[in-house]
Formats: sequence, C-alpha cells, structure tokens
Amino acid sequence: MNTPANQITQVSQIQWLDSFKQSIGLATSKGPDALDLVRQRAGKALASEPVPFRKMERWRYTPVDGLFKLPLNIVKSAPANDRDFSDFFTLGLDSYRFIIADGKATFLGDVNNLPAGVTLTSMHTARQQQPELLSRYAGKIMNHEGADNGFQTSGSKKDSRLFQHLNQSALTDGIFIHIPEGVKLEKPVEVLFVKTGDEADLIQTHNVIVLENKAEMTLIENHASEKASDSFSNNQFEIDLQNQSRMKHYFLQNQHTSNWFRQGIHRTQSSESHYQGWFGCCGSHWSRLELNAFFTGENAVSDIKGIQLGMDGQVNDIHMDIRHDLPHCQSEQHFRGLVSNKSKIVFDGNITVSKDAQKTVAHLSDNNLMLTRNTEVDAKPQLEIYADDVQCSHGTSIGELDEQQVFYLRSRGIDENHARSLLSLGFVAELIENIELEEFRQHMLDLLDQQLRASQRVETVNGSN
Amino acid sequence: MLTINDLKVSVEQKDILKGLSLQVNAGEVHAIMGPNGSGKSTLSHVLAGKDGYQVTSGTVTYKGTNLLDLETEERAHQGVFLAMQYPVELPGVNNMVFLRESYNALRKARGEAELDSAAFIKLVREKADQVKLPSKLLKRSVNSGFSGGEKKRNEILQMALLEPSLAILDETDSGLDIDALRIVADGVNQLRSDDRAMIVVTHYQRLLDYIKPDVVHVLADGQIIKSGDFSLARELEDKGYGWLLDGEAA
Repeated sequence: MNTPANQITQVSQIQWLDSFKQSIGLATSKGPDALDLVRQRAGKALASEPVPFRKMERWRYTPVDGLFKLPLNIVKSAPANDRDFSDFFTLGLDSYRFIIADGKATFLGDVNNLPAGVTLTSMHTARQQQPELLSRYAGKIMNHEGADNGFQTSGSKKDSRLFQHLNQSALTDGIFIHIPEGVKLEKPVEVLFVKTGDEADLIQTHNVIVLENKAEMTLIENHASEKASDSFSNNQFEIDLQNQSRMKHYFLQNQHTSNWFRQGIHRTQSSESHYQGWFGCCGSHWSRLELNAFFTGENAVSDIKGIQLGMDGQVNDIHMDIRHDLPHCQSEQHFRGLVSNKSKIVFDGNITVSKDAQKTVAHLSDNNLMLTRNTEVDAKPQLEIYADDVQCSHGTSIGELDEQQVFYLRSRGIDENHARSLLSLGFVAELIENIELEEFRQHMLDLLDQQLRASQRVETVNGSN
Repeated sequence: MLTINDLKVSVEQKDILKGLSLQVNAGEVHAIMGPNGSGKSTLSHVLAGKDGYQVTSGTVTYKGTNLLDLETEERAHQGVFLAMQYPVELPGVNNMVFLRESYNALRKARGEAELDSAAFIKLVREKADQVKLPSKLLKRSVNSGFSGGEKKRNEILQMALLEPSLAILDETDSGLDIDALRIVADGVNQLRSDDRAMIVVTHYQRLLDYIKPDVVHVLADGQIIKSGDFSLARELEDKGYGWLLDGEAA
C-alpha cells in the first residue's frame, strides 16, 4: 500500500510544498548575511528531503498524509498592526510581552527600558540591528552535532527533517532573546502565538533564546487561534543555556481543534545549567512537539514534565530525544496523557546515555488514561545506556478509569460525567501541582476541567445516538 | 421509609439474594448480621445502585418510589448513603474538593443554593473534629494512603456531612479498634432521628453494643431467616449462627 514508490509520486502532489519550494527559489536575498547562508542551505536540503510517511520509524504512529492534502496558502499577509490581542493574555502577569500574529512578531515592551545588555526583540529586527549576535546562534544550535540527535540516533535514513528544513529555509520572523552574563530577568517573558482569521495558511516562526553564563529567565509560550481554520503552524525554537544559567519554560498549545501544529525545540545545555520545562499539549487537530536536548557541559539538569490531551478526534504527538554524552548530568522526563473520543496520543521518548556519561541520572515516565473506547495510545519509551555507572529508569502505562472509583463518586451524588472528569483531572493532578508559576497552574487546571467536561458532553451525545 | 419485598438478585448467573423481604421505618435502626457469603454486601450494593447485580424479581420501595429505577447519583440525591466496606482511594482528587462537590451536588438536587467555600470549610472542620479525622487528611487525596481506620472515619465524616435519610453501613466496623468503633457508633447515634433510618450490616455484636439497634435480622443464604430485638444479637454472639442454620435445615 504505502510503498516508497507511492510516496515519491505523492511528493510531487503536495501542492503547498511545491509552491513553497518555488517561492524560496524566487525570494530576493537581502544580502549575503550569515542567516541567508542558513536559509539557502536549508532550502537546498529541502529540495531533496524525503517526505515523512508511515514506514519511517519516527512517523509510524503519526498519520501525516492529511497535512499534505491541506489547501495551504504559503504567503500570508500580516494582520493590521492595530489589532488588540490583550484578551489572550489571561494570566494577569506583569511580564514582557510578545505577540506573534500569523507569524509576525512584535515586542510590546519598551526596548529602552530593559536591563542593561538584554535583548528582547523580533528576529526581523534582530537581523537588521544585531546581525552578528544573531548569526552566532540562529541555525547553529539546532544544527549542533549533538543536539541534532533526533536524526542521528535513528540509526538509519528512516526519518525526515522536512519540517526543520521547511522552517529554516524560510527563516521567517519569531523572537530573539539574549540575556547577557549574570543578568537575572525578573519579569517573565510571555509570548502569544496567535492565528487570526479562518484562512488555511502555512505559518512559520523561528525563535532563538540564549542565556549566557549565570543568566536567568522565565518564558511562557501560549499558542492560540481566533477562529477555526485548516492552518498549519510550523515553529522552531533554538535554546542555548550557557554555564550556570537557569531557565523556566512554560508551554501551552491550545489552538483550535481544526489547526495543525508542529514545533521543534532544540536545546543545548552547558555546565551546571538548569532547565525546567512544563508542556501543556491540549489543542489542535494534529500536533507534534519535538523536544531535543543535548548536554555540552557536566552537572547540567534538565527537568521536563507535560501532559497530552486528545479529546475530540485529535492526534497529539510528543517526540523527545535527550542525549547524555558527558558525565554527571541529570534529566527528568515525566508525562501523562488523557485520550477520548476517537483521539490518539503518540509518545516517543528517547534517552541516550553514551559510554562516557558516567554518573548520569535519567528518569522517564509516561502514563496514559483512555477515557472512552475508540481511542489509541502509542507509547514508546526508549532508554539506550552505554555507560555502566548510572541511575536510569523508564516506564509507561496505559489504563482506564477504575469503575469502583466512578461508583464511589456517584454514590455521593456526583453525576457520572462529572465523576469521570474529576478522576481524569486527578490522574494528571500530580503533574499540574509541579507547576511552580501559580497563575499558569490555575490556568491549566481551569482549562483541563473545561475540556474534560466538554469532552464528556460529546461522549454523552455520541453514546445516546 | 424502605420496603424490600421478595428481592432476588444474582451475580454472574449465581443467585445471591433469594427472596429477601425487609421493612425499615423512619426513626429505626436495623442491624443485619449473618455469616460470610450470606448476601450482606450484595444487599448494600444493590440498594446503592452498584453495577454488576441483576435483580431478577422483587421490589424495593423507598419513600414511595421504586428505588431500583433510580441511577446511583439520584439515589444519593434522594438521601440514600452507603458507607463502604472498602472505601476506594481516589489519587489526585482532593478530599476537600470531593466533599464540597458531593455536598453541593446534594444541595443542588434539593433546589438549594451551593454553600460558599468559606462556610463549607468551616462546616467540614467541625464535622471532621466530631469524627476525629485529622484536618491534614482533608487536604490530601481522598483516602490515598489513609490507614484503615482513617478511611472509615472519612466515611463517617461524609455521612455526618450529607445527613442522609437512609444510611447503610456495610461492615464499617470491620478491622477497627475500640476507639474507632466508638467513633463510628457516635456518628450513627448523632444522626439518629425520627425522620431517618439506618441499616447497619455487621459480623459482630460489638458495634451493636454502642448503637443498640431497634431490630436485628439474621441474613443467611440470601434470605432473612430470623428477626428480633437487640437480645438476638446477644444470642448470636453466644451461640453463633449454627443453631439457626440447623433449624433452617430441619
């Protein structure tokens, strides 16, 4: 059925991809700066890159054909500048704010009022004003020999970097954050990625974040949409955490359940750096989050937690690659998933501990709850250990709600739908409690409660049909 | 209050209750005793509406309506409460939240306004003191990591809070020490009133010493084979069930 030969035919049938390739060929180059070289290199790679399909190990459980059939517009004019998106900033935090509306980034704060040496700006502006600084990092972190391990550990050509190349060959707008040595950014940075309108657009952003030695910051990403649309967001983050820097990263993807979403986050961490990430993957018809981390120094810590929600015919995919090449680093990876109503969760978590990475501490867990029939969970934890003095563990589970628990709640007067919502919320509560930022934690709780109840209503309607 | 007439119930094709009849009036406390496997827990579960039991014949009338027609939560709304023999743990579900959801669900069903958070917390603290449940257990997940005695006290707390019309205690005394037993008995005695009824299912006389039921029934092989006053419980404690079962056979 799905032979490579068929695939090759299919490649030429992806209209939006063909249009995109033509458009980058025609794009006028603003000058041969370093980023143009990155862009051109990616453009060349894109031309010959195979399209992901089921026979590739990393795409085995994630159906992607529908994405290639979308009638995507590859050029999108940015929305008017006077649009007000303040309603989307629901956390009520005193923060530095960015808006990225349909891929166009705007920093809302006063650049003259930032701590000395701090850069918070759009990629577009950074390219004009700080090209040397930007070109030191953009395209470098994600193409780092080690950070790019998602590709390498597959051990074969059975993968596709189509979306990475697609992103880099456009090298569109996004945010650029550079925190100089020793600076602790007191206020968090909040970035709203919003898709406006109902057009089926290809929207790409490329974002670069650099924390120099001993720098600290908190980043909050919120991915939302105004309306239903068959749009596809393809985002890329590059994060470089230098010696003893600390970053807290909160991610919420709650786009409309008609949208398609992919985001890669490539991260390198130097000695004694500390990264704490929390990922709420709730929205979109189809979403794929790729988390890659690579330690370039010893005694670094990476702690990521997240939840995956598939409530309404969704596909929710997390692919994670953590690579320990050096000794004494620690990585914690803990995820939970809730899936119902013809939805699917894919979790592919890889940790590689090379032979020199002695004293590595690495733990991975992924637990899922299937709330209804007609759901699917594909959980694939993989721990490859080549060192002999490490503390590592991994485990996954896929289960259902315990009917004894449902009965207990019902016998106390709580109706069945609400009982199931409470228990489902209880299943992810432990991870939610780990969210340090109180406003974000409360927001996640409210959001989950709301989505679980809505999902129960869907199931009740379907069940009575 | 509750009239059970010739109730027959089977579980996976196996007959458990074989024509049980029972009349419980408002203001009364009934004890149901009987050997293992006689159908005591089945009776409790059927009254609370648990799945997995097939009622093959008979009727259960509660406050004039057919109890078996009601969903589990509707029975709770109507004032039926089952204190479980094995209260389940609900990881991640906060005890205080659970108690409030339950309390307000019942108020809502009665057409009353929900109690606000502050007033509710005050109420729960009072009730928790009564049943000697450490207040730190209110902040934990429901029954998670609770000792056996703490779980039972949490059941009695719920009973005290929800003030049911018909409370069924399914072997709530099993595995409890004397102090915990007193707390269970106090919980029952405090709720005793002219407009409430209680069914206390138990193996042992000990709990009944504190509760002093109005009527004692012996349930054996799916039927009530003897009823009497509190002295029957004493007799059972002395003689066991053998003499009744033998009499039945003869």
